[in-house]
Amino acid sequence: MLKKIFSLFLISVFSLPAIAAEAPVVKKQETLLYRDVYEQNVHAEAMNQLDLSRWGRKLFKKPLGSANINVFDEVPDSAFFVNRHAKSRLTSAQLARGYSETDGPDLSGALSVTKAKTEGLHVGFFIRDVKGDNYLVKFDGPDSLELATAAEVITSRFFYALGYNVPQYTVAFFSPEKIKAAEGATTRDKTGFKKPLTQEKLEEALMFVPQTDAGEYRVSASKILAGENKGYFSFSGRRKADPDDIVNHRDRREIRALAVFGAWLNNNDIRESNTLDMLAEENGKQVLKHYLIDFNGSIGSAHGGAKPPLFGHEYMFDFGETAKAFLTLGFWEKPWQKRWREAGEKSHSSAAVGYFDNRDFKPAEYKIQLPYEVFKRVTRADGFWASKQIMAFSDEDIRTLVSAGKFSSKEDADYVSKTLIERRDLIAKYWFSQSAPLDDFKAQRGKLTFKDLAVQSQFEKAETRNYQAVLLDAKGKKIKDLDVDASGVALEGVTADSVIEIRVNASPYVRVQVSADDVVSVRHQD
Amino acid sequence: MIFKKLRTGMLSLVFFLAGAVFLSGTAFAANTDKYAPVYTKPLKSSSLKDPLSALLALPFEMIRWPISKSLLFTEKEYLPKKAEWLYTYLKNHGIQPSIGFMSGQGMQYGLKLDLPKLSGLQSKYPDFTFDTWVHYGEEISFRTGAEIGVERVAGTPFFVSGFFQYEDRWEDNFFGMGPDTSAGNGVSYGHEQTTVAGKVGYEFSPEWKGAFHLVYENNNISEGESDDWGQLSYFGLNNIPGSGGDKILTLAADLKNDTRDFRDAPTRGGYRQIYFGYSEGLDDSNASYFTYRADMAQYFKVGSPRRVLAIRGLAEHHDEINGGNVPFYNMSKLGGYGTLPEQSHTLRSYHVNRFFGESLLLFNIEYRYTIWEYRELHMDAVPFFDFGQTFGEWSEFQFKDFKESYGLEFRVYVARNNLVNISIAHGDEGTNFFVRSKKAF
Repeated sequence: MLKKIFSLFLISVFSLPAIAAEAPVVKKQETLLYRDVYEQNVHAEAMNQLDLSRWGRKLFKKPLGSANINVFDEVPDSAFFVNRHAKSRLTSAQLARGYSETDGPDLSGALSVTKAKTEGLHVGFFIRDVKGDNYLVKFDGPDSLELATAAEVITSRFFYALGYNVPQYTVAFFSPEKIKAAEGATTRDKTGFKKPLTQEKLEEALMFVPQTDAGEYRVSASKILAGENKGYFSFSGRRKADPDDIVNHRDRREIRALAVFGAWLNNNDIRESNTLDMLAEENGKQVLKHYLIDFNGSIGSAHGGAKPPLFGHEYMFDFGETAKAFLTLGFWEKPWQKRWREAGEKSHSSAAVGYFDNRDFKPAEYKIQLPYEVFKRVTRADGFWASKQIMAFSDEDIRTLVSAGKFSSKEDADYVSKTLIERRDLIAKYWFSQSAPLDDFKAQRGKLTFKDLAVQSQFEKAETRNYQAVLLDAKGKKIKDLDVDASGVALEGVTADSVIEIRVNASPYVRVQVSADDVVSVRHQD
Repeated sequence: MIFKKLRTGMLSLVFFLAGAVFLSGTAFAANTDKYAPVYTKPLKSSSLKDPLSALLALPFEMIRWPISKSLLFTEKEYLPKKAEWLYTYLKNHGIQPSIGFMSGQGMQYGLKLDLPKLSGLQSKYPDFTFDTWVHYGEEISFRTGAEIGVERVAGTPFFVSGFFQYEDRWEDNFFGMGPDTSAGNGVSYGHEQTTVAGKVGYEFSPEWKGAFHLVYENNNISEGESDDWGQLSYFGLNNIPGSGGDKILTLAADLKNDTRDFRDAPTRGGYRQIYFGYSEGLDDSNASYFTYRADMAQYFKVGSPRRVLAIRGLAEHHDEINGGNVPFYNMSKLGGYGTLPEQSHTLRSYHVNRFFGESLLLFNIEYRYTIWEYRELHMDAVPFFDFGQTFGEWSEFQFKDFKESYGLEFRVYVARNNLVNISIAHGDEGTNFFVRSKKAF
């Protein structure tokens, strides 16, 4: 009992920074695609070559672990991430609903367009419904009804269930006469100059937007977040003005893990300009919350239609791949070219699915389109953590999440679900093979028990697993071998300050510190 | 401020003590919640770079800010969209500006006007063409002219046009005739040319067309303006046919066949052109010659449209008749990038107009392969090899006189339209560097 009270005390003390902090005074920071491309694809790529410690870590294989993990090798809740489905299973209804403030735009009256969306991939408008709620509605590209809108809503559901902050996204249908240009609405037409958005110009913009069989528009509607827009959040440094933002984002596990989740959801368009910081009041306190936004470049979708074949395989300017092509006189067939050739140079037969399959999918080789250093820093421990999150989604959960995309064809929904299920397993299998995939440690009755997630997920057979455990002293020096099997490690002779190091079939280690009957800490090798 | 520092210090101490307690193994872990914010040491951010690496990066960091800000401004203000709109607007209205750079010849500026488009008459008279242009090459020339014509005369496959051009090239170069001349003997001369021409032709099919030409040229030759080069008289003006200028009338015919799948980035097909001309000097000119030319290129896919082998062959001969001569400026010429009609043919590592002769034989081989692509953009690497020679009569042709040039070019395309090329070419007489928006062939 005393232990529990002390634990709670510690938790409270450690939460003090958040409680004691004053309202953050943070400036709005801006970025857009060009800047992102220059910063990451040109500047950062060059600067990485001048980063001596980075070279050192690379040469001596000493990756830098994430800095925001707790004693149990988990990511505590923060303004970036709140443990959700992997911590406590969300119900089917919660999964399907995602982050939700309303049921979507109120379609009982007109939707007034206040401004045209002039950035991003697809035709879109900022609208106000009859309740006065503001949304950003985005349409599918020509000849690809459902593709972008379904991708956006489905991916937003996944990211929310994983633990990220996302705005509310819903699929909405409305007839063309519902959408009206509001007085004072503006747009940027093909001249690039700001112009009044008249009803005529609005109809012109919608001319090539596909409609459903019922003659309706189909949109993904994201509700405009409450609070003050503070721009994007960096994938590298932190906002020093925000007292809650203590760790460089480059060293935040949940940001690194976006590389893994991006690969799962085929969202190669994760970039700083697709993030958003909002300063809003929560529980009587001003909090800077960090959001992921804009997911219509995920699954099989990209600007204008199906994902181009090279997406996910190469950076926008991929110096390595370009050099390979140059040096091999173009005779080396790139993986994406092979994949595209094997697909008969065709996307999925349904335009709503686009180009999304697991042919030649290699989890470690998936590339987000800009080479953010944070994604290159994913360690084995980060990958293992991300895979645990992914494996928390059952096949049924994935089907439920995909249903939020409201595909009109069951075959399309089934195909996307099936591909995500397969890809989930491919990713988890890979990362589990790169680590000691042991979790859920418990010290009880003289034994340290654990779950082997690779066996539990049926990626490996129990009889092929060979566990090794050694007892280390506080300095990491081996004291003795310990008896270990699938049922756990015998804790004979284990003292409170010693650490048990466990490996599976010569995998990297996981180190567990136990007291008499408690697990004190867990750390997977980076 | 002091309170803030005190508070930070206190919190750090608490974190540190808590962490130390944990590390000692005597702590009571928060086993109740494995997601609790309990850490082995206080959370903090390490510096993004070690001091030495930060120092190395400093100069680049200094340029990062203005570049980032400029790019942000460019995108926020929709400058590319505005530029694209402006370019399209100008093009749709018949205004086509151009710009380029060539080593040794400086910047090139041009403007071409499509008058039916500009006047809004194109929709009313779609077959009517009337182009006018002006071109200024910083160190070499000024050119202006116009061409007026009808694409399909009365709806038939016949086409006709009339052409006028005035060109002043105050800094052309001459190195002597034949294959055995020295780059060190180069001289400069001025060449003022006025051309009036008429053409009538027939389009047999989209791939085949033929035409007859009647061309009048008035050529004035003067001393070059550069102090860095010698004058034409160095070679003895009597030894150089046409050194006093000529008025020439030419009657010619050509036949063209073009089967390329894309004009700028062909992956298959080719073009073939044959030309025959009869030129006769007017007034006191001694010019009198036939011109024969065959120019052909073929493009082969090497297993993929991303790999293309392009081969071009060009043969030209000027045959003196009636005891006349071929003016040196109208002889076959070799050297330079070779995209402009008034310039010499492609032998990229050599100076423009490096070789003159009554005959020419040229082969260009390029292996074009894609090394980068992103949506509608792609970049090709193009190793190339040019070899050619000028000579007098066919009997004077010798294999040993071929001059070689090799190099590498990078070409960027947007939707298979050539945007920019950067190339470096090397040969016996040095290295040339080009930035162009038009490829050699």
